[in-house]
Amino acid sequence: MKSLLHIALMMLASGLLVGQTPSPSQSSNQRILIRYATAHIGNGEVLDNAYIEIQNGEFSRVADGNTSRINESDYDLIIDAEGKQVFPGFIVMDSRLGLTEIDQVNATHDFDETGDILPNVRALPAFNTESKIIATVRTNGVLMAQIAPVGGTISGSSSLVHFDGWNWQDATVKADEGVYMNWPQRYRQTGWWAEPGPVKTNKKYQESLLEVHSYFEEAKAYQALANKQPENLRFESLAGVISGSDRLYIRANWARDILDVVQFVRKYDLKKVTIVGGAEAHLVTTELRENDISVIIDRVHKLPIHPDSPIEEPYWLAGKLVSDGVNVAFATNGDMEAMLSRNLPFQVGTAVHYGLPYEEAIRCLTQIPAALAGVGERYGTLEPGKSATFFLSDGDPLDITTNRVTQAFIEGKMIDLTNHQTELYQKFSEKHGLETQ
Amino acid sequence: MRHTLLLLSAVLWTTISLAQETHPVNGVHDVRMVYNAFTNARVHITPEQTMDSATLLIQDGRIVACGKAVEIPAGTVVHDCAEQTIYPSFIDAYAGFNFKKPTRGDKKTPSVVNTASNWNPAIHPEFQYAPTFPIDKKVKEDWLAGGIGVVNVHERDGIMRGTGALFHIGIDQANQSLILPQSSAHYSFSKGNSTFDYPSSHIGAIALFRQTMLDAQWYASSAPRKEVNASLRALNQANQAPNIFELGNELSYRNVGDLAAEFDKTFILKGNGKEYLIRDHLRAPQKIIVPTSFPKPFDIQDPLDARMVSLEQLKHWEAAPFNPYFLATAGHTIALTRDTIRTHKAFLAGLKKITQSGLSHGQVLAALTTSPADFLHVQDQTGTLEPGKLANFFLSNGDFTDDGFKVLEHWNKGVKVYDKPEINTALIGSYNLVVQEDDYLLDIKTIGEKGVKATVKGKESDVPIEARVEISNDLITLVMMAGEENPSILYQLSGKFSLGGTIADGKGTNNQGQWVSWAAVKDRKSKPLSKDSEASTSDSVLSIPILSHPNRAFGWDSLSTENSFVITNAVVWTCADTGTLEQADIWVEDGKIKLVGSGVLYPSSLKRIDAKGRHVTPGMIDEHSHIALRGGVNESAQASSAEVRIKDAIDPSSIHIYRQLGGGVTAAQLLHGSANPIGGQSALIKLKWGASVEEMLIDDAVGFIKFALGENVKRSSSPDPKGRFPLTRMGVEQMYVDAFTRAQEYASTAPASSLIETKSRTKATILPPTKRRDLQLEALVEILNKERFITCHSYVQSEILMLMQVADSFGFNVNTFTHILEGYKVAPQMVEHGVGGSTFSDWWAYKYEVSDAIPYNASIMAQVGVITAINSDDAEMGRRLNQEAAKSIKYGGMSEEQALNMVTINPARLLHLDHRMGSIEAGKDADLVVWNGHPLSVYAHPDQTYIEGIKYFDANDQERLKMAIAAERTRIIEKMLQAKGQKKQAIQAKEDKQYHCDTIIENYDQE
Repeated sequence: MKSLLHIALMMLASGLLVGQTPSPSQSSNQRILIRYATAHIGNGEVLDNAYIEIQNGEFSRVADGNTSRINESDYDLIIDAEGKQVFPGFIVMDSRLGLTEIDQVNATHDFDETGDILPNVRALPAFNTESKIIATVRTNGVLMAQIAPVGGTISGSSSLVHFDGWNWQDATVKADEGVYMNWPQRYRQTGWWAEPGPVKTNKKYQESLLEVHSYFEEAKAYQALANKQPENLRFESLAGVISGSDRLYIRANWARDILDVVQFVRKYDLKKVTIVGGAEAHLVTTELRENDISVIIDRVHKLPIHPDSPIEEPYWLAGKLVSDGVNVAFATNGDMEAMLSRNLPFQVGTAVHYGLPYEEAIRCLTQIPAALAGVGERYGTLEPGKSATFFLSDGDPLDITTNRVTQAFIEGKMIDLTNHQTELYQKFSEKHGLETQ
Repeated sequence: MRHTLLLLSAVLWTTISLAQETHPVNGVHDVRMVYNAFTNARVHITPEQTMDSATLLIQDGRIVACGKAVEIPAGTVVHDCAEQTIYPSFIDAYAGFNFKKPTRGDKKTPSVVNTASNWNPAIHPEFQYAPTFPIDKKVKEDWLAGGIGVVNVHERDGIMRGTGALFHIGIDQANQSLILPQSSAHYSFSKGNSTFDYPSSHIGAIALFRQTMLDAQWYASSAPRKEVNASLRALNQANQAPNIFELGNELSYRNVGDLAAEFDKTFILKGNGKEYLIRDHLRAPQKIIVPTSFPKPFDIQDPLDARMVSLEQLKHWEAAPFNPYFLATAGHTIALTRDTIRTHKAFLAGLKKITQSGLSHGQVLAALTTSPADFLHVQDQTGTLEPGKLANFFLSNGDFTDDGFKVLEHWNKGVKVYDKPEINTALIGSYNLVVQEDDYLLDIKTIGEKGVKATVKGKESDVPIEARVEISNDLITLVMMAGEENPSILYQLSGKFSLGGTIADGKGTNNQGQWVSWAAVKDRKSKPLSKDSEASTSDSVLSIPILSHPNRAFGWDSLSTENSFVITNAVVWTCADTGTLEQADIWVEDGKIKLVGSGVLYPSSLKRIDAKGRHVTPGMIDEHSHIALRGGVNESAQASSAEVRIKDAIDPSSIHIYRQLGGGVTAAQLLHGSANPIGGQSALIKLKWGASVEEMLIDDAVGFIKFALGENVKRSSSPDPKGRFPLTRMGVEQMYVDAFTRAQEYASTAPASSLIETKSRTKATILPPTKRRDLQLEALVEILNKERFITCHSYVQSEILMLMQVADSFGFNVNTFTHILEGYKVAPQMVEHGVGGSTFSDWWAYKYEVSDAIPYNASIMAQVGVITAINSDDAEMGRRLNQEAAKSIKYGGMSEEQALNMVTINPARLLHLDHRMGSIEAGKDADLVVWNGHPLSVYAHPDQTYIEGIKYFDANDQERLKMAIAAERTRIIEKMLQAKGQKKQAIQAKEDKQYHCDTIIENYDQE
C-alpha cells in the first residue's frame, strides 16, 4: 500500500518545475481505492461512506462501505477520504479553454474563423494542452471542457476534451460531437460591451432566418444525393446533425429567437438540439421541454438582460429551467471566459442558492453535459464501467471557501494540482518569509 | 382718459416713423402711413388678457391701439375679423431654423478660420450667426403657419458657440427683419464638428469650459498681452447678451449650475425634454427653454418585443408632454421652442398636448410670447399686443387649444407675410345639381389641403359617374365622367359659389364641346360634419403621471426618511477590534450607529428588527468602480487630464446602483479610466438610490485622482496609438517627472493662499493679473501638497517601483495601487512607501501584463502588511464583492474576518473614510447589510441594505416590485397600444453604461 505521503512527494516533485504546465500523469493501470468518502454520484444520488475502486482507468466498483469487504493488498493506492467528498469531474461547456491564452493578444486566439457558414471548421486541432489557464481550472474540480468555435452563423464543430493530455489527440474525449451555430438575432445590441448602444430591432432578421432555413434545406437534400461529387465539405460536416447522431448547439438568448429555433427544429426534424445562452429561456420552458431541447446557460454571474428584469434573474434561471423539466448544463461565456472557467463551481453554487437543488446542480455539471456530448455511457457519473475522471474535495466544491480539491483523477490517473500560480505563490511566500497554505 | 393715451401713443409712433433711414431708395419713396384695423376679433392681448369683439389698430409696423373701444381713424384699412382670433406672434428663442446636425469634421465653423481664435476649435464664442436672406419660402411659410413670427437662431456647433440673431420671419430685408444681432450667447457640452481629440468626454468638455473661462479672466486682466485671442475677447464681451446653455442630457443641469456659480454667470437652460426629472434639484427658479416634441409610441404589438422597451422608456413616453407643466409648477419659468420639429403641424400638435397636460392656455401662451421675449431682453418690443410694440401677430380660426386650429394670416412689423385663408368647410354638403336639363346629386364630402372628395350620382339613371372636383376659394371646377371601363367625359364645368355656399352656378362644356349652363343648390337638410364631434375625446385633460425616484423600474414612490431602529440578535461582523459578536444588537439613531453589543439598552419605542440567525456586516465599499457615469470615463486625448472631475458625470439613475445595493455595496469610488498616466479626479459616493447626485456625493471626502501605468497607458490594444506620448514604460516615468516638475514651478509662482482653498472653492480665485490659473497643474500641486491622493492603476512590479520612486523624489506618497496584480512581488517595498493595494481577487490572462497575476496576491500583500482591499472595476462583480473577498480564504488561507475587512474597513481606510465608514462602531454611519446567512458564502444574499440608517434595498420587496413593475408596464403599454393615428417608433432599448478602466468612447456628447 502506498501512502498519502507518497502522493504528497509526487506533487512536490512536480512543483519544482517552476513556470511549466504540469506534466500529464504517467502512471496508469493503477488499482486505486478511495474509501470513507461521501460520493456524489452525478445522477442525483449520494452515497455516504463510499468505497470507490478504480482499475484500468475505470471505476470498477462504487459501493456502500458498510457492506463492502476489501483486501488492502489488492490496491496500489488507498486513499482514506474520511470527511471528503467525491464528485465526477465537472464539465464546462461552450469553452475557449486551450483555444486562447491572453484575451488582448490576438496571436493567442484560435476560436473565431473568418467566414459565415463554417460547419467544417473544427476546434479540436487548435486545442493547446500546454495552456497555462487550464492548469488553474482543474485545480478547482473542472476536469473536462467542451471546446467550441464562435465565428459566423455556423461556427464549426465542438469536441469534448479532458485536461490531462500531452496533445489534443491525447486529450480527446469525443471528437466533433456537435456543431455550433449563432442564431440570427431579432434584436441587435449596438455599440460594444462597455459602451452599449441601444438594442435595436434587426431589420435583416427575417432575411437571415430564411437563409438559415434554405441552407439546411440544401444540406438535407445533399445527404440524399446518390453521387456526392464534387464533395461539399460543409454539407458533409452537417451529416451527423441532420441524421440525428450529432448535436446542434444554437446560441440564442431572446425568447423570440428561441421560439424560432423550436420551429426550425421541428421543420428539419432535428433530434439533438441544445440552446446556448438562453437568457429568456424561462419564458418558453414548455416549448423547450416538449421538443427535448436542453439549455447551456452561458454564465450565471452576469447582469440581468433587461433593465426591468428582477435583479437576481440570471441567478435563478437554472433553477427555474430545471424545475420546469429542461435539461441544463453550464458555460462561463463572455468576458475573460477561459480564465473564469475555474469559477464555474461557484457560479453554479449561486444558482443553488437561488433554487437549483444541490444534487441537480451536480448533475448539470457532470451527467447532463456528458450526455449532451454523447459520452454519457463513459463519463459524467461515478458508476462502474465509467472513466475514473473525478476529484476529492475537503468541502463543498460549489462554495468558494470550501472548494478545496485535494486529489483529482483523469482517466484513472491522479493529476498534479499545482500550476503556474501556485508556484509563484510558493516562490514569493518564501522570498517574504511567509508560511503557505 | 384711455382714449387720450391711445391717441398720444399713436402720435408718438407717427413721429418716430418719420425718422430717416440709412439705406438710399432706388426710385420714388413708398412710405405707407395708412392704418390697418382688425375688428370684431377675439384678441389675446397678453397671456392674461383676452378680449372678445375687440379691435387691433396698427400703423407703420407698430401697434397703435388694442381694445374694445378703439376709434378707427381716417385712413384706415379695416379688416373684419369676425370669428377670428388674434395672437401676438410666437417667439422661438431656440429655433432650429434650417438646422443640420454637425458631423465631426464635416465642415469648419467660419470663425475657426480666424487664426487669432482659441486653440480648441470647439471654442469659438466670437462667431456671430447671421441669417441668410431671403429665407427659403417653404421653410418660412411653415414657421409662420405655426404661429412663430420671431425667431432666435444660432449656429449649433461647439462648446462655446458664439452669438445668435433675433429676427422676424417673412421680412427678407436684413436691416428690417433683424430685431437684435448678437441677441444671445450660446453654450453646450458638445464639441460639434471639431476634429480635435480633446475633449473626448463630458468631463473633458466641462474642464475645457472652465479653463477657457479662467483664460478669459486672465486675458482681461493681463497687460501687456503676449497674444491676441479673439475668442477670449469675445467671451469677455458676451456678458451683456443672455447666455443660453443647451443640455444634451438633463443631468448636465448640475454642471451648468456649477459653472454659473464659479464664474458668477446666469444661464438660461435649453432642455432636451426630460427636465421634469430634475425639476426639484435645480438650485433656484430657472429660466428653461423646453421642446414641444415628444416621443412617439413604440411599436409593441408583439408582447415579446414589448419586453425590449424598459419601464423608464414607457414612463418617459407618458410623462414627456407634462415636462412644461412639471417645470412650471415647480416654480421655473419656461419658454417653448419648436426647435427642430420639421412641420408646423407637429409643433401645433405638441402645443395641444401641452395644454392637455395641466397648463392653462395663458400659461402656454406666456411660454410662447412673454417668457421668450423676457429671456431675450426684448419684452418692451414684442410678445404682447400692447400699444407701442411691434405689430407682430397672427390671425387664426380659434384658440390653439381648439381642434383644427389654423393660422390664417401672419403679420410681422405691420406687414402681411403669410396668408392662407381657411378652407371653407361650409361648402361641404349635398347639392341638387342641374346641368342643361339633367338632374344630379352632388355630394361634397370633405375639402382638405390634399383635395376635395365628392361624388355625383344621376338622379334618374344608375350609370356610375366619376366626379373630379376642385375648389379654390369660391371657385369650383367639376369634371364628370360616365361608364365603368374607359369612362368618357360627360361635362367639364366651372363656376362660383355664392350666398355663403348655398348656391353655385356657372358654365361648362359637354361631350360635344358645346357650352352649357349649370347650377347647384344646397340641400338644406344636409349639414357639414362637425369636427368637434369626431375628436371630442382628445379634449379631455390627461391625468398627471406619477413619477418615481428615479423614474424607472425599482424607483421609489417616495424616499424613506426613517433612520432610527435597532437590529437585534444578529451575528455582527464589526470589522473593528471587537471582531465578530454573536447575538448582538445594533442601535441606529438618526442614521448613525449609537451602540453595538450584546444586551444593548435601547428605548422600547424604537423600531425593532429581529435578525436572529442572520448576519450583519458594514456596507461594502468598492474602492474601484465606474458605475453610474455618463459621457465617458476617460478623457484620453492628452497624457494628463488632471483637470477633469468625475463628479461632473454622475448618473444617479443608473440601474447598477440598485443592483449593487442588492449585493450589499453602499459606497464606491468612481474613478476616471486608465487611458492616460494622469487621469482625472475621483468622485466618492454613497449608493443612495433615488437621491440626487449632491446627496450621493460624500460631503467630507478628501480629493482623489486616478493615475495609470502599463498597457492601457501605452495603448497597447489600440490598433493605432497615433504617437501620443508615452508609448512605453520608459516614457511614462518621464511623463510623471515632467508633470511634477512643472507643478512645482507653478506652485512656486502662485500665491499659496489661492491653492489651499481649492476644496471649498465656489468662485474663481482672483490671482495677480499676470498669473494664468491652470486647472491641470493645480490638481498636481494639490498632490504635492498632500491635499489630493493618488489611486494608481498598476500591474507589474517594475512600474510599481518606478512610481513609488518618482513620488518619493517629489516628497509625496502614492495612496493606493489599484489592480496591483504583482503587488505580491513587491509588498515589502509597498509597506515601506506606505501605499495600500486594492486588487482583483482572481482575474488574470486578459492581457499580457497580467500573466503573473495570482489569486494569492491579496493574501500575500495583507500578510506582509499592506492595507489590502478587493475591488470590482465591473458592474457585475460589484454585485458580489463578498464572494470576491472570500476567494482569499481559499487562495492563501486568509481568516474570514480579514477577508471581510478587504471590502469594508480596508477600502474605507484607503479612501480616508474610516472615521465614518467601514466598520460597525458607535458614532459611525449606519451603512449596514443584513445577510440571510454567512456573508462570505455563495449561499448568502443581503436581505436588507441600509445607508445612514435608511433602507435602500430589501430582498423581501423584490417579489412585490416584480409584480408592481409588471402592472405598471402593462398599464402604459395598454395606453400606448391605444394611441391611434400616431406614427410608431421602432424599438430601441436603452442600456445602462458599463464602463471599465480602458473604455474609450466615440461620441461622448451623443449619450
